[in-house]
Amino acid sequence: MNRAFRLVLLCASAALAALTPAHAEPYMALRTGNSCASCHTNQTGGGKRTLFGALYGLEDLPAWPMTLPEGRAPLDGTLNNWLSIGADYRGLNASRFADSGNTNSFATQEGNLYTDFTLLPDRLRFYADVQLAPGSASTREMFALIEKLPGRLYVKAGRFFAPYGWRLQDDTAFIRARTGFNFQSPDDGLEIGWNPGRLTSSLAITNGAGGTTDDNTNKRVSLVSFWTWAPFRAGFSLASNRQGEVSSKLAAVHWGAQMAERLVVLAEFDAGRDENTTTGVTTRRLIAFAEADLLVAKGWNLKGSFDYHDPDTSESGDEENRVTLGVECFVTQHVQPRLIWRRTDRPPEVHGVTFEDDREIILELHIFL
Amino acid sequence: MALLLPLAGCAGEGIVDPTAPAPLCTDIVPFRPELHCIQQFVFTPTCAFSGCHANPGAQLGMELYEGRTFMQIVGVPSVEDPNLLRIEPGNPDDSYLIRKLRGDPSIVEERMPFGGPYLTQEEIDVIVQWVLDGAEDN
Repeated sequence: MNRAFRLVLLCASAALAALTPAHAEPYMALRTGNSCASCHTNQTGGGKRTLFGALYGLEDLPAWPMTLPEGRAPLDGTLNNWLSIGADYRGLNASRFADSGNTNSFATQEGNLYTDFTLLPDRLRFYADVQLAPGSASTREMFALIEKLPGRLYVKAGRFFAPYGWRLQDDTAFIRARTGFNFQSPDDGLEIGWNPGRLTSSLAITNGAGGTTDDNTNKRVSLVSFWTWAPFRAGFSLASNRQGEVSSKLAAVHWGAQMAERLVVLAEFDAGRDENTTTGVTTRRLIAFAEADLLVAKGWNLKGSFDYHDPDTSESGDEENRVTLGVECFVTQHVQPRLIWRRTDRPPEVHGVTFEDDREIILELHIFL
Repeated sequence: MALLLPLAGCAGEGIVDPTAPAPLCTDIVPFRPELHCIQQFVFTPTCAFSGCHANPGAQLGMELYEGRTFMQIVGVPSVEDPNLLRIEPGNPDDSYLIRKLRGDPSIVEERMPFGGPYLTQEEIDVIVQWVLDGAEDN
Protein backbone atom coordinates (compact mmCIF):
# COMPACT_ATOMS: atom_id res chain seq x y z
CA MET A 1 0.00 0.00 0.00
CA ASN A 2 1.59 3.28 -0.99
CA ARG A 3 1.86 6.27 1.32
CA ALA A 4 -0.66 8.45 -0.52
CA PHE A 5 -3.25 5.73 -0.31
CA ARG A 6 -2.59 5.28 3.41
CA LEU A 7 -3.06 9.02 3.94
CA VAL A 8 -6.36 8.89 2.10
CA LEU A 9 -7.37 6.01 4.32
CA LEU A 10 -6.41 8.00 7.40
CA CYS A 11 -8.43 11.00 6.33
CA ALA A 12 -11.33 8.76 5.52
CA SER A 13 -11.10 7.11 8.90
CA ALA A 14 -11.09 10.48 10.59
CA ALA A 15 -14.01 11.72 8.55
CA LEU A 16 -15.93 8.51 9.01
CA ALA A 17 -14.96 7.82 12.57
CA ALA A 18 -18.33 6.30 13.13
CA LEU A 19 -17.28 3.42 10.95
CA THR A 20 -13.93 2.92 12.60
CA PRO A 21 -14.93 2.61 16.08
CA ALA A 22 -12.16 3.72 20.94
CA HIS A 23 -11.57 4.66 24.37
CA ALA A 24 -11.66 8.16 25.94
CA GLU A 25 -13.41 10.77 28.04
CA PRO A 26 -13.43 13.88 25.81
CA TYR A 27 -16.49 12.33 24.23
CA MET A 28 -18.40 13.34 27.35
CA ALA A 29 -17.47 16.98 26.84
CA LEU A 30 -18.66 16.71 23.25
CA ARG A 31 -21.85 14.93 24.24
CA THR A 32 -22.74 17.52 26.89
CA GLY A 33 -21.34 20.55 25.07
CA ASN A 34 -19.32 21.50 28.15
CA SER A 35 -15.65 22.39 28.42
CA CYS A 36 -13.13 20.15 30.22
CA ALA A 37 -13.02 22.68 33.07
CA SER A 38 -16.75 22.29 33.66
CA CYS A 39 -16.24 18.81 35.03
CA HIS A 40 -12.55 18.83 36.07
CA THR A 41 -10.65 21.07 38.47
CA ASN A 42 -7.73 20.95 36.09
CA GLN A 43 -8.65 23.41 33.34
CA THR A 44 -7.24 21.15 30.65
CA GLY A 45 -9.05 18.04 31.85
CA GLY A 46 -8.37 14.87 33.77
CA GLY A 47 -8.06 14.25 37.49
CA LYS A 48 -10.48 15.49 40.11
CA ARG A 49 -14.03 16.35 39.16
CA THR A 50 -15.60 19.65 40.05
CA LEU A 51 -18.83 19.69 42.03
CA PHE A 52 -20.66 19.98 38.70
CA GLY A 53 -18.75 16.97 37.36
CA ALA A 54 -19.33 14.97 40.51
CA LEU A 55 -23.07 15.67 40.45
CA TYR A 56 -23.19 14.80 36.76
CA GLY A 57 -21.59 11.46 37.62
CA LEU A 58 -24.04 10.90 40.46
CA GLU A 59 -27.25 11.90 38.73
CA ASP A 60 -26.95 11.77 34.95
CA LEU A 61 -24.50 8.98 34.14
CA PRO A 62 -25.66 5.90 36.09
CA ALA A 63 -27.86 3.35 34.37
CA TRP A 64 -29.33 2.22 37.67
CA PRO A 65 -28.73 4.92 40.30
CA MET A 66 -28.93 3.48 43.76
CA THR A 67 -31.28 5.08 46.22
CA LEU A 68 -29.39 6.12 49.31
CA PRO A 69 -30.66 5.60 52.84
CA GLU A 70 -32.86 8.40 54.06
CA GLY A 71 -30.85 11.26 55.44
CA ARG A 72 -27.63 10.16 53.71
CA ALA A 73 -26.35 12.80 51.25
CA PRO A 74 -24.64 11.61 48.04
CA LEU A 75 -20.85 11.59 48.16
CA ASP A 76 -19.64 14.35 45.87
CA GLY A 77 -16.22 14.87 47.46
CA THR A 78 -16.99 18.22 49.05
CA LEU A 79 -15.75 18.18 52.62
CA ASN A 80 -16.33 21.85 53.37
CA ASN A 81 -16.14 25.24 51.67
CA TRP A 82 -12.37 25.02 51.50
CA LEU A 83 -11.52 21.44 50.76
CA SER A 84 -12.81 18.80 48.38
CA ILE A 85 -11.39 15.44 47.37
CA GLY A 86 -11.69 12.96 44.55
CA ALA A 87 -10.34 9.58 43.58
CA ASP A 88 -9.94 7.16 40.70
CA TYR A 89 -9.19 3.46 40.83
CA ARG A 90 -8.74 1.29 37.78
CA GLY A 91 -8.03 -2.40 38.04
CA LEU A 92 -8.06 -4.80 35.15
CA ASN A 93 -7.70 -8.30 33.92
CA ALA A 94 -5.94 -8.45 30.56
CA SER A 95 -5.71 -11.46 28.27
CA ARG A 96 -3.23 -11.26 25.42
CA PHE A 97 -3.23 -13.62 22.49
CA ALA A 98 -0.16 -13.83 20.27
CA ASP A 99 1.78 -16.41 18.28
CA SER A 100 4.49 -16.54 20.98
CA GLY A 101 1.93 -17.52 23.58
CA ASN A 102 -1.10 -16.34 25.46
CA THR A 103 -1.00 -14.51 28.77
CA ASN A 104 -3.51 -13.43 31.36
CA SER A 105 -2.84 -11.07 34.23
CA PHE A 106 -4.57 -8.96 36.86
CA ALA A 107 -3.16 -5.49 37.48
CA THR A 108 -3.88 -2.28 39.27
CA GLN A 109 -3.66 0.30 36.56
CA GLU A 110 -4.03 3.37 38.75
CA GLY A 111 -5.13 4.48 42.19
CA ASN A 112 -5.19 8.26 42.46
CA LEU A 113 -6.24 10.60 45.22
CA TYR A 114 -7.04 14.23 44.47
CA THR A 115 -7.26 17.14 46.87
CA ASP A 116 -8.42 20.61 45.99
CA PHE A 117 -7.94 23.43 48.47
CA THR A 118 -9.83 26.65 47.79
CA LEU A 119 -7.47 29.16 49.32
CA LEU A 120 -9.24 32.25 48.01
CA PRO A 121 -12.76 31.67 46.65
CA ASP A 122 -12.91 32.03 42.84
CA ARG A 123 -9.30 33.19 42.77
CA LEU A 124 -6.73 30.78 44.12
CA ARG A 125 -6.65 27.00 44.41
CA PHE A 126 -4.03 24.52 45.48
CA TYR A 127 -4.44 21.21 43.73
CA ALA A 128 -2.70 17.86 44.25
CA ASP A 129 -3.06 14.63 42.28
CA VAL A 130 -1.14 11.83 43.96
CA GLN A 131 -0.85 8.34 42.56
CA LEU A 132 -0.98 5.78 45.35
CA ALA A 133 -0.88 2.67 43.20
CA PRO A 134 0.57 0.76 41.52
CA GLY A 135 3.84 0.72 43.46
CA SER A 136 5.10 3.60 45.55
CA ALA A 137 3.29 6.91 45.79
CA SER A 138 4.18 9.59 43.30
CA THR A 139 2.97 13.09 42.55
CA ARG A 140 1.28 13.41 39.20
CA GLU A 141 0.18 17.00 39.55
CA MET A 142 0.66 19.66 42.21
CA PHE A 143 0.03 23.23 41.28
CA ALA A 144 -1.38 26.59 42.26
CA LEU A 145 -4.22 27.74 40.05
CA ILE A 146 -5.05 31.42 39.81
CA GLU A 147 -8.39 31.63 38.06
CA LYS A 148 -10.98 34.09 36.83
CA LEU A 149 -8.41 36.75 36.11
CA PRO A 150 -9.36 39.81 34.02
CA GLY A 151 -9.67 38.91 30.36
CA ARG A 152 -10.85 35.41 31.33
CA LEU A 153 -7.32 34.27 31.93
CA TYR A 154 -6.00 31.68 34.33
CA VAL A 155 -2.48 30.84 35.43
CA LYS A 156 -1.25 27.48 36.62
CA ALA A 157 2.18 27.07 38.21
CA GLY A 158 3.80 23.90 39.47
CA ARG A 159 3.80 20.32 38.25
CA PHE A 160 1.13 19.38 35.76
CA PHE A 161 0.36 17.57 32.52
CA ALA A 162 1.29 19.91 29.70
CA PRO A 163 -1.56 20.68 27.29
CA TYR A 164 -1.52 19.09 23.87
CA GLY A 165 -4.16 17.40 21.74
CA TRP A 166 -7.15 15.44 22.96
CA ARG A 167 -6.54 14.41 26.58
CA LEU A 168 -7.81 10.86 26.25
CA GLN A 169 -8.16 8.67 29.28
CA ASP A 170 -6.40 5.88 27.41
CA ASP A 171 -2.71 6.66 27.80
CA THR A 172 -1.75 3.89 25.40
CA ALA A 173 -3.50 5.57 22.47
CA PHE A 174 -0.76 6.39 20.00
CA ILE A 175 -1.56 10.13 20.08
CA ARG A 176 -0.77 9.96 23.82
CA ALA A 177 1.95 7.31 24.13
CA ARG A 178 3.90 8.29 21.03
CA THR A 179 3.78 12.05 21.52
CA GLY A 180 4.97 12.03 25.15
CA PHE A 181 1.90 14.01 26.25
CA ASN A 182 0.23 11.53 28.60
CA PHE A 183 -0.54 10.84 32.24
CA GLN A 184 2.91 9.25 32.69
CA SER A 185 4.63 12.53 31.88
CA PRO A 186 3.96 15.39 34.26
CA ASP A 187 6.36 18.29 33.99
CA ASP A 188 7.22 21.40 35.99
CA GLY A 189 6.46 24.81 34.61
CA LEU A 190 3.92 27.50 33.99
CA GLU A 191 0.63 27.41 32.08
CA ILE A 192 -1.46 30.33 30.96
CA GLY A 193 -4.97 29.83 29.68
CA TRP A 194 -7.48 32.03 27.96
CA ASN A 195 -11.18 31.30 27.73
CA PRO A 196 -12.97 34.23 26.12
CA GLY A 197 -16.03 32.22 25.14
CA ARG A 198 -16.09 29.86 22.22
CA LEU A 199 -12.31 29.80 22.20
CA THR A 200 -10.22 28.04 24.83
CA SER A 201 -6.45 28.16 24.64
CA SER A 202 -3.70 26.95 26.95
CA LEU A 203 -0.02 27.68 26.58
CA ALA A 204 2.56 25.93 28.77
CA ILE A 205 6.27 26.39 29.24
CA THR A 206 7.88 23.45 31.02
CA ASN A 207 11.31 21.96 31.56
CA GLY A 208 10.87 19.42 28.79
CA ALA A 209 13.31 17.10 30.48
CA GLY A 210 10.97 14.15 30.83
CA GLY A 211 9.74 15.09 34.28
CA THR A 212 13.17 15.54 35.81
CA THR A 213 15.06 18.65 36.83
CA ASP A 214 16.24 20.65 33.87
CA ASP A 215 19.94 21.18 33.32
CA ASN A 216 19.77 23.62 30.43
CA THR A 217 18.11 26.84 29.32
CA ASN A 218 15.91 25.17 26.72
CA LYS A 219 12.26 24.69 27.52
CA ARG A 220 9.38 22.78 26.04
CA VAL A 221 6.54 24.94 24.79
CA SER A 222 3.14 23.46 24.07
CA LEU A 223 -0.12 25.03 23.02
CA VAL A 224 -3.60 23.68 22.59
CA SER A 225 -6.48 25.70 21.25
CA PHE A 226 -10.11 24.67 20.72
CA TRP A 227 -12.94 26.48 19.04
CA THR A 228 -16.40 25.35 20.10
CA TRP A 229 -19.36 25.82 17.83
CA ALA A 230 -21.86 23.32 19.18
CA PRO A 231 -22.16 20.56 18.24
CA PHE A 232 -18.65 20.89 16.74
CA ARG A 233 -15.32 21.44 18.42
CA ALA A 234 -12.11 21.85 16.48
CA GLY A 235 -8.64 23.10 17.15
CA PHE A 236 -4.94 22.66 16.86
CA SER A 237 -1.92 21.93 19.03
CA LEU A 238 1.73 22.83 18.71
CA ALA A 239 4.74 21.66 20.70
CA SER A 240 8.43 22.33 20.50
CA ASN A 241 11.28 21.03 22.58
CA ARG A 242 15.04 21.06 22.36
CA GLN A 243 17.73 19.32 24.33
CA GLY A 244 21.32 19.56 23.30
CA GLU A 245 21.70 18.72 19.66
CA VAL A 246 18.22 17.23 19.33
CA SER A 247 15.00 19.10 18.70
CA SER A 248 11.45 17.91 18.31
CA LYS A 249 8.42 19.66 16.87
CA LEU A 250 4.85 18.42 16.88
CA ALA A 251 1.72 19.82 15.30
CA ALA A 252 -1.78 18.46 15.47
CA VAL A 253 -5.26 19.19 14.28
CA HIS A 254 -8.12 17.76 16.27
CA TRP A 255 -11.83 17.93 16.02
CA GLY A 256 -14.96 16.33 17.39
CA ALA A 257 -18.69 16.57 17.00
CA GLN A 258 -21.94 15.22 18.20
CA MET A 259 -23.13 13.77 14.92
CA ALA A 260 -26.52 12.72 16.17
CA GLU A 261 -28.34 12.74 19.48
CA ARG A 262 -26.46 9.65 20.65
CA LEU A 263 -23.34 9.56 18.48
CA VAL A 264 -20.09 11.41 19.14
CA VAL A 265 -17.01 11.26 16.96
CA LEU A 266 -13.57 12.75 17.48
CA ALA A 267 -10.26 12.58 15.70
CA GLU A 268 -6.69 13.84 15.82
CA PHE A 269 -3.91 13.95 13.28
CA ASP A 270 -0.31 14.63 14.40
CA ALA A 271 2.81 15.33 12.39
CA GLY A 272 6.20 15.31 14.09
CA ARG A 273 9.69 16.32 13.08
CA ASP A 274 12.79 15.32 15.05
CA GLU A 275 16.14 16.76 14.10
CA ASN A 276 19.65 15.96 15.27
CA THR A 277 21.99 18.77 14.26
CA THR A 278 25.10 16.70 14.98
CA THR A 279 24.25 13.71 12.85
CA GLY A 280 22.15 15.70 10.39
CA VAL A 281 19.39 13.13 10.65
CA THR A 282 15.84 14.39 10.42
CA THR A 283 12.94 12.06 11.10
CA ARG A 284 9.34 12.79 10.28
CA ARG A 285 6.50 10.86 11.83
CA LEU A 286 2.73 10.69 11.63
CA ILE A 287 0.18 9.70 14.25
CA ALA A 288 -3.57 9.54 13.85
CA PHE A 289 -6.58 8.68 15.94
CA ALA A 290 -10.30 8.43 15.35
CA GLU A 291 -13.04 7.46 17.76
CA ALA A 292 -16.77 7.00 17.85
CA ASP A 293 -18.98 6.73 20.93
CA LEU A 294 -22.57 5.61 20.79
CA LEU A 295 -24.89 6.04 23.76
CA VAL A 296 -27.08 2.96 23.38
CA ALA A 297 -29.03 3.47 26.59
CA LYS A 298 -28.66 5.56 29.70
CA GLY A 299 -25.27 4.69 31.21
CA TRP A 300 -24.29 2.37 28.34
CA ASN A 301 -21.67 3.50 25.87
CA LEU A 302 -20.26 1.65 22.88
CA LYS A 303 -16.77 2.71 21.87
CA GLY A 304 -14.63 2.14 18.85
CA SER A 305 -11.32 3.63 17.84
CA PHE A 306 -8.53 3.42 15.32
CA ASP A 307 -4.87 4.31 16.01
CA TYR A 308 -2.13 4.73 13.46
CA HIS A 309 1.58 5.48 13.90
CA ASP A 310 4.31 5.83 11.32
CA PRO A 311 7.57 6.41 13.25
CA ASP A 312 9.59 7.32 10.15
CA THR A 313 7.87 8.42 6.99
CA SER A 314 11.01 7.82 4.93
CA GLU A 315 10.78 4.10 5.64
CA SER A 316 8.00 1.84 4.53
CA GLY A 317 6.73 -1.13 6.44
CA ASP A 318 7.42 0.24 9.94
CA GLU A 319 3.86 1.42 10.68
CA GLU A 320 1.69 0.12 13.49
CA ASN A 321 -2.04 0.39 13.87
CA ARG A 322 -4.62 -0.59 16.40
CA VAL A 323 -8.35 -1.15 16.45
CA THR A 324 -10.29 -1.06 19.71
CA LEU A 325 -13.91 -1.95 20.37
CA GLY A 326 -15.48 -1.71 23.76
CA VAL A 327 -18.56 -1.38 25.87
CA GLU A 328 -18.72 0.47 29.16
CA CYS A 329 -21.46 1.08 31.63
CA PHE A 330 -21.91 3.50 34.48
CA VAL A 331 -23.74 0.82 36.42
CA THR A 332 -24.51 2.99 39.40
CA GLN A 333 -22.90 5.87 41.24
CA HIS A 334 -19.08 5.66 41.30
CA VAL A 335 -18.86 2.35 39.36
CA GLN A 336 -17.91 1.90 35.71
CA PRO A 337 -16.88 -1.53 34.38
CA ARG A 338 -15.55 -1.73 30.83
CA LEU A 339 -14.94 -4.57 28.40
CA ILE A 340 -12.46 -3.97 25.59
CA TRP A 341 -11.32 -5.99 22.61
CA ARG A 342 -8.20 -4.72 20.90
CA ARG A 343 -6.19 -5.76 17.86
CA THR A 344 -2.68 -4.33 17.36
CA ASP A 345 -0.88 -4.85 14.08
CA ARG A 346 2.85 -4.20 14.12
CA PRO A 347 5.48 -4.35 11.40
CA PRO A 348 6.72 -7.94 11.17
CA GLU A 349 10.36 -6.91 11.04
CA VAL A 350 12.30 -3.64 11.32
CA HIS A 351 16.12 -3.59 11.09
CA GLY A 352 16.35 -7.29 11.93
CA VAL A 353 14.06 -7.09 14.95
CA THR A 354 10.82 -8.98 14.68
CA PHE A 355 7.50 -7.93 16.12
CA GLU A 356 4.24 -9.78 16.37
CA ASP A 357 0.62 -8.79 16.21
CA ASP A 358 -1.57 -9.43 19.18
CA ARG A 359 -5.15 -9.43 20.30
CA GLU A 360 -6.26 -8.39 23.76
CA ILE A 361 -9.40 -8.69 25.83
CA ILE A 362 -9.41 -6.34 28.79
CA LEU A 363 -11.96 -6.27 31.58
CA GLU A 364 -11.56 -3.09 33.58
CA LEU A 365 -13.21 -1.84 36.75
CA HIS A 366 -13.24 1.89 37.34
CA ILE A 367 -14.27 3.24 40.74
CA PHE A 368 -14.39 7.00 40.96
CA LEU A 369 -15.34 9.89 43.14
CA MET B 1 54.18 -13.48 18.58
CA ALA B 2 54.18 -14.74 22.16
CA LEU B 3 53.50 -11.21 23.29
CA LEU B 4 50.60 -10.85 20.92
CA LEU B 5 48.81 -14.07 21.80
CA PRO B 6 47.41 -12.97 25.19
CA LEU B 7 45.92 -9.94 23.52
CA ALA B 8 44.13 -12.03 20.96
CA GLY B 9 41.45 -13.39 23.27
CA CYS B 10 40.71 -16.60 25.04
CA ALA B 11 38.33 -18.73 23.03
CA GLY B 12 38.79 -22.42 22.35
CA GLU B 13 42.02 -23.94 23.62
CA GLY B 14 43.67 -20.59 24.26
CA ILE B 15 44.58 -19.90 20.69
CA VAL B 16 42.27 -17.63 18.77
CA ASP B 17 41.77 -17.61 15.09
CA PRO B 18 41.83 -13.89 14.27
CA THR B 19 39.99 -14.59 11.07
CA ALA B 20 37.07 -16.23 12.87
CA PRO B 21 33.83 -14.23 12.54
CA ALA B 22 32.74 -12.26 15.55
CA PRO B 23 29.86 -13.86 17.45
CA LEU B 24 26.45 -12.71 16.37
CA CYS B 25 23.82 -11.46 18.76
CA THR B 26 21.62 -14.29 17.56
CA ASP B 27 24.18 -17.00 18.34
CA ILE B 28 22.15 -17.45 21.50
CA VAL B 29 18.34 -17.49 21.56
CA PRO B 30 16.80 -14.98 21.78
CA PHE B 31 20.05 -12.92 21.78
CA ARG B 32 23.39 -12.72 23.56
CA PRO B 33 23.54 -11.14 27.04
CA GLU B 34 25.66 -8.23 25.86
CA LEU B 35 24.64 -4.60 25.91
CA HIS B 36 24.94 -4.01 22.17
CA CYS B 37 22.62 -6.97 21.56
CA ILE B 38 20.14 -5.79 24.20
CA GLN B 39 20.31 -2.39 22.55
CA GLN B 40 19.60 -3.87 19.14
CA PHE B 41 16.78 -6.17 20.18
CA VAL B 42 15.15 -4.29 23.05
CA PHE B 43 16.08 -0.68 23.69
CA THR B 44 16.26 0.62 20.13
CA PRO B 45 13.06 -0.98 18.79
CA THR B 46 10.87 -0.66 21.88
CA CYS B 47 12.18 2.23 24.02
CA ALA B 48 14.20 4.79 22.06
CA PHE B 49 11.22 6.56 20.47
CA SER B 50 10.58 10.24 20.38
CA GLY B 51 8.16 10.92 23.22
CA CYS B 52 9.52 7.94 25.18
CA HIS B 53 13.21 7.39 25.96
CA ALA B 54 14.77 9.46 23.22
CA ASN B 55 15.70 13.11 23.32
CA PRO B 56 14.50 15.73 23.62
CA GLY B 57 12.53 15.16 26.80
CA ALA B 58 13.39 11.52 27.31
CA GLN B 59 11.03 10.26 30.01
CA LEU B 60 12.55 10.67 33.48
CA GLY B 61 15.69 11.87 31.76
CA MET B 62 16.58 8.30 30.80
CA GLU B 63 17.94 8.10 27.27
CA LEU B 64 17.98 4.60 25.83
CA TYR B 65 19.37 5.12 22.38
CA GLU B 66 22.58 3.67 21.08
CA GLY B 67 25.65 5.23 22.61
CA ARG B 68 23.80 6.67 25.62
CA THR B 69 22.23 3.66 27.29
CA PHE B 70 25.19 2.49 29.38
CA MET B 71 25.92 5.86 31.00
CA GLN B 72 22.19 6.42 31.58
CA ILE B 73 21.37 3.20 33.40
CA VAL B 74 24.39 1.48 34.96
CA GLY B 75 25.08 2.80 38.44
CA VAL B 76 22.59 5.65 37.99
CA PRO B 77 19.93 6.19 40.68
CA SER B 78 16.35 5.70 39.60
CA VAL B 79 14.23 8.84 39.52
CA GLU B 80 11.09 6.99 40.52
CA ASP B 81 12.81 5.17 43.39
CA PRO B 82 16.06 6.96 44.31
CA ASN B 83 16.90 4.17 46.78
CA LEU B 84 17.64 1.88 43.85
CA LEU B 85 19.97 2.08 40.91
CA ARG B 86 18.50 1.68 37.47
CA ILE B 87 21.00 -1.13 36.97
CA GLU B 88 23.12 -2.40 39.85
CA PRO B 89 25.82 -4.67 38.39
CA GLY B 90 25.50 -8.20 39.74
CA ASN B 91 22.17 -7.51 41.43
CA PRO B 92 19.24 -7.74 39.01
CA ASP B 93 16.59 -8.10 41.72
CA ASP B 94 17.46 -4.68 43.12
CA SER B 95 17.91 -3.06 39.74
CA TYR B 96 14.92 -0.79 39.19
CA LEU B 97 14.96 -1.21 35.41
CA ILE B 98 14.62 -4.97 35.80
CA ARG B 99 11.71 -4.43 38.17
CA LYS B 100 10.04 -2.16 35.62
CA LEU B 101 10.45 -4.77 32.90
CA ARG B 102 9.06 -7.50 35.17
CA GLY B 103 6.15 -5.39 36.37
CA ASP B 104 7.21 -5.82 39.97
CA PRO B 105 4.55 -4.61 42.46
CA SER B 106 7.09 -2.19 43.98
CA ILE B 107 7.43 -0.04 40.87
CA VAL B 108 6.00 3.44 40.45
CA GLU B 109 3.80 4.06 37.44
CA GLU B 110 3.46 1.61 34.59
CA ARG B 111 5.26 -1.56 33.66
CA MET B 112 7.55 -1.10 30.68
CA PRO B 113 7.53 -1.12 27.71
CA PHE B 114 4.67 1.31 28.20
CA GLY B 115 1.39 -0.11 27.00
CA GLY B 116 3.04 -3.39 26.01
CA PRO B 117 3.65 -5.78 24.56
CA TYR B 118 5.94 -6.61 27.44
CA LEU B 119 9.20 -8.48 27.01
CA THR B 120 9.03 -12.24 27.08
CA GLN B 121 10.49 -14.07 30.05
CA GLU B 122 13.31 -15.24 27.77
CA GLU B 123 14.18 -11.68 26.84
CA ILE B 124 14.07 -10.50 30.46
CA ASP B 125 16.28 -13.45 31.43
CA VAL B 126 18.91 -12.28 28.94
CA ILE B 127 18.98 -8.79 30.44
CA VAL B 128 19.15 -10.31 33.92
CA GLN B 129 22.11 -12.41 32.79
CA TRP B 130 23.84 -9.29 31.47
CA VAL B 131 23.38 -7.66 34.89
CA LEU B 132 24.65 -10.80 36.64
CA ASP B 133 27.69 -10.74 34.35
CA GLY B 134 28.56 -7.30 35.65
CA ALA B 135 26.50 -5.06 33.34
CA GLU B 136 29.48 -4.18 31.22
CA ASP B 137 29.52 -1.78 28.29
CA ASN B 138 30.00 -4.63 25.83
